[in-house]
Amino acid sequence: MAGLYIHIPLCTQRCSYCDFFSTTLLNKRVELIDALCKEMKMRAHYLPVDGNVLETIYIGGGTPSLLSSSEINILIDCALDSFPHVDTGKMEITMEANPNDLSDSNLKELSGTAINRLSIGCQSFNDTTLKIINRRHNAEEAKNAIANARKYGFNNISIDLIYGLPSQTIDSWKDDVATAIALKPNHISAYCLELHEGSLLTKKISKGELTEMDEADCLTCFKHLREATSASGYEHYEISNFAQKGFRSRHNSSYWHDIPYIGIGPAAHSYDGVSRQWNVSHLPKYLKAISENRLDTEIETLSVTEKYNDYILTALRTSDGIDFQYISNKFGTRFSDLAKEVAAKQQKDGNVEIIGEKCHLTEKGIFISDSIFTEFIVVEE
Amino acid sequence: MKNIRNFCIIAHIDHGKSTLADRLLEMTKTVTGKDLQAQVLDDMELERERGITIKSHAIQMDYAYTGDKAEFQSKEKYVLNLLDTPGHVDFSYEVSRSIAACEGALLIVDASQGIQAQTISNLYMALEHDLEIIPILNKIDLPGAMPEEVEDQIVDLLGCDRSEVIRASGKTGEGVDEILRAIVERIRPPKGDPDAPLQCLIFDSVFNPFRGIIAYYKVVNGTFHPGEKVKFVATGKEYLADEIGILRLDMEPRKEMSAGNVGYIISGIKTSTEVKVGDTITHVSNPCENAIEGFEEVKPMVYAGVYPIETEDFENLRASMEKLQLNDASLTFQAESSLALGFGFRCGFLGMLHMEIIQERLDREFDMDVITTVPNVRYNVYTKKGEMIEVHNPSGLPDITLIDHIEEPYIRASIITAAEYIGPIMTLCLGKRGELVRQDYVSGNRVELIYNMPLGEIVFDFYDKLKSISKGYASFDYHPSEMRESKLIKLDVLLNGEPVDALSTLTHIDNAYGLGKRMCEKLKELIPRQQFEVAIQAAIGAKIIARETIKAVRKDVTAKCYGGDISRKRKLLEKQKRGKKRMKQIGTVEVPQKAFLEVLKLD
Ligand SMILES: Nc1nc2c(ncn2[C@@H]2O[C@H](COP(=O)(O)OP(=O)(O)O)[C@@H](O)[C@H]2O)c(=O)[nH]1
Ligand code: SF4
Ligand SMILES: [Mg+2]
Repeated sequence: MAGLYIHIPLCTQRCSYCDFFSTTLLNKRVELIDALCKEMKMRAHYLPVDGNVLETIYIGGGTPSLLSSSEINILIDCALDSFPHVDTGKMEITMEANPNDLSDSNLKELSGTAINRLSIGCQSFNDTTLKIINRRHNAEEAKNAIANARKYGFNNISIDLIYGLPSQTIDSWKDDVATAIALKPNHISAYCLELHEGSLLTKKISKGELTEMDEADCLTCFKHLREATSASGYEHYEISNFAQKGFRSRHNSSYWHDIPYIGIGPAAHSYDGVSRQWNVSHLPKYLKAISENRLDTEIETLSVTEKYNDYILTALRTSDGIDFQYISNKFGTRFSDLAKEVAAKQQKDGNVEIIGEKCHLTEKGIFISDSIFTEFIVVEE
Repeated sequence: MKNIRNFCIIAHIDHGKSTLADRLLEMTKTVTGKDLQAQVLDDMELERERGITIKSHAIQMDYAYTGDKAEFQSKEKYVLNLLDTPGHVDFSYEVSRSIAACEGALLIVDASQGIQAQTISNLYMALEHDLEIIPILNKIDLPGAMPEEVEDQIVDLLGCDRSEVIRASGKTGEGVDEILRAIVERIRPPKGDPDAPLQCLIFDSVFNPFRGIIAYYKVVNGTFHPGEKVKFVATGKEYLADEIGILRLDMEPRKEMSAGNVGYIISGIKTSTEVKVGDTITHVSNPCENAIEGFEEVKPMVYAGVYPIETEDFENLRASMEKLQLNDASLTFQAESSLALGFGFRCGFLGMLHMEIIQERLDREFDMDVITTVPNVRYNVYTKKGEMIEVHNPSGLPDITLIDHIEEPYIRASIITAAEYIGPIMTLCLGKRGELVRQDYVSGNRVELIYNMPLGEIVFDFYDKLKSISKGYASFDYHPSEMRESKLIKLDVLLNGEPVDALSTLTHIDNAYGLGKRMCEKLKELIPRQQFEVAIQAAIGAKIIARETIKAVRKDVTAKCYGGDISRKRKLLEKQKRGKKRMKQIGTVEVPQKAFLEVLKLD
């Protein structure tokens, strides 16, 4: 099995926390769609033969909801044309959408495409907070978007939320969580704010114009999120992801389970099971390369150690955790022995739980997971 | 012998010694074409990089005199021996031996900088040994040169005539010819007696992996040949002179070396400590009556613990230290163990620069990752029973109840600066327990301050601070003077209640509280946050005098990790892991390697 990611690096305005690759060069749209299709053809044989059947397509960004339904159809048709895939009815085809792009008319058109899952960037249901992070929608629009999408037959809906933002408090977050749950999305991605170098928010915070939430409060928010979602039947299946039964994101899960994927578009990453590669993060450069029938891309071939490290930092993010037997089979006993030893120590500190051959993070472990990954991973001198 | 001239160069760092030496070597065609790399004499990688001379070097040049003074015109060429010397206080004993081997010195002063403390103290040393001084005003090509003013300084200092000062530039080559002529005309030939019993003064030694330890010397009296049996007076060891010769760009063997000349001897010596700078070489069969004066056993001034990061590297570290010692007999080391750091060595260094150099060479030449602890001096501890114990490590101090009193080494320090910096410098010295002895105007608005100070106060960040408060316009030199009784106490540091022996220091009682507080603050900066709270405490005996707390990490999580983030995240975590590997686990607390040294770098 395999996944396809299509990157639409267009946004009408920049969210203040964002360091994603996106551009406001909207006039490149037509050229971009052409190039994306062409890249799919160029990468038709990228995937290993024993794992080249597409099961998921994910159109992300940027803001893919800026595209028209005909543009979306072009992309999806091209994908289905270029790669072997399972029956379309069995595929998960997701598109990220901005709430205020989900008007009745747009949704109506979208419902005519092959898209069967929407990931809606709500982020918050608090207008003050939404303003501070420079989103172009308000709380009302966010709420309506979900109800509307249902109305047009989308019955696999995910929403994004962020906590730890300036102006947010524990109480305002509790309200956000309650609002979200009341809307009954099938899936919730809730991210604790990360301050990226170069984002507007980082600058404002370092200048003292805004203050981020303190660590202890973030932790309280996280704990509340876990409790509230679990009480409403969501499964916490990855550090930032919560799903109703049967609604885990299949596409994103492939990233955490060592499944090959193709990334199309500027800055998109691909993985064929052996090496990772990424396209240039620059729209004009990307377009130029494709127009010259070449890929402007960097490749990194992974050593066994690096593959093991990747496995740790992806698998351990999930509630399934890592599997010592798998590590031993795939990377060798040197790695499984080490992983067991580290796991035993981390279990003593209450950061992980070992069940048979498996090991996953505890609630305590999740919030300091990067330091725990560091314990597990191996670096060569 | 009348055609030999032996000279050294006295110069402050960066005043252009190496550059000018290169010009002399070029003009005399000692180096040509392909060998012409900048700074021929500084051949250690580290020397070139830092632009400092660490080891003494010697090189012989042939020079056909071109001057018009009839008495110097000669068919034979002149033999000029240049003894290059290290320019840092740490190596002042080596400098003194090189000076003792010469009859003259070039005093190089940067025309844009003027005379510096180091220069003065080396100059005095040269004058004591009765050397002929040739003053050179260097870098005369610089737009910022102040020839008149600096010439005044030189004339004041030497009491010489203005016309004796040679204006030169190592960059343009101006004046280099005149310098060569002056070396012949003004410096007297060596005086020794080739027929007297053999006396050679050792001024340096080097290690050669194939030939063993090679000693550099000047033949003061007598004559000797390969195959003769020689004796090193101070060590009492006897060797066969396998090979002797002179030093050009490479060693050139000779059948005979006699009074006045400078050269090398290879005699199968395996241990560098057998060749002591300042020692005398003589014949076994016809020994000299007295050794050459001025021999001293160089004692380390500064001690510090050097520990491998990985405990299992202890034996590798020992092997590396042994190899370093071959090259550098002034390095001493002794195995010791620390509760915090495991097994390592207590090393003795000539000074802070020497310590830094060793640390850097361990890293570069031996790939040894080490932790260096805060340096300290040697203490004489007198017990109530009247015994004296020499202590090189604060944690090795006897129990406080057994101590009667402690003595610490004092130095006499000379600082030369411009008048406007006197205030802040005096404040700095006072804070370091300095006692002002004298204050003299050297020339113009340049002042020399003489202080008595505890060596222990300057081994650490004194020099850096001096440089920064004087904006670089202060130079500093010192000599050990005496051992003095002081009210010293041991200050301990505890991490989560566990004393960390490697962080203990001896300090004056009056400074203990302030120091304890600042050490805790500094450690708080140096130790990264951990998964639990870390308490940092400073204590005198059982009494806690300061405390800081490092809060536990509550949040260290990557929220998003999808397709593209995986490589980036892995690289980040791998980098962190590498950093972590370079930390030392003390109890449960991870302490970065640099913390052990930087803890005392307080502002
Ligand atoms: N302008 C000028 N620069 C010089 C002259 N002599 C040396 N320098 C520069 O001064 C710096 C220090 O020179 P160096 O010979 O290494 O000094 P040392 O530390 O005394 O050996 C280097 O950057 C040289 O290039 C000179 O005569 N004129
Ligand atoms: S919509 Fe997404 S990609 Fe665009 S600026 Fe906002 S966060 Fe960044
Ligand atoms: Mg030099």
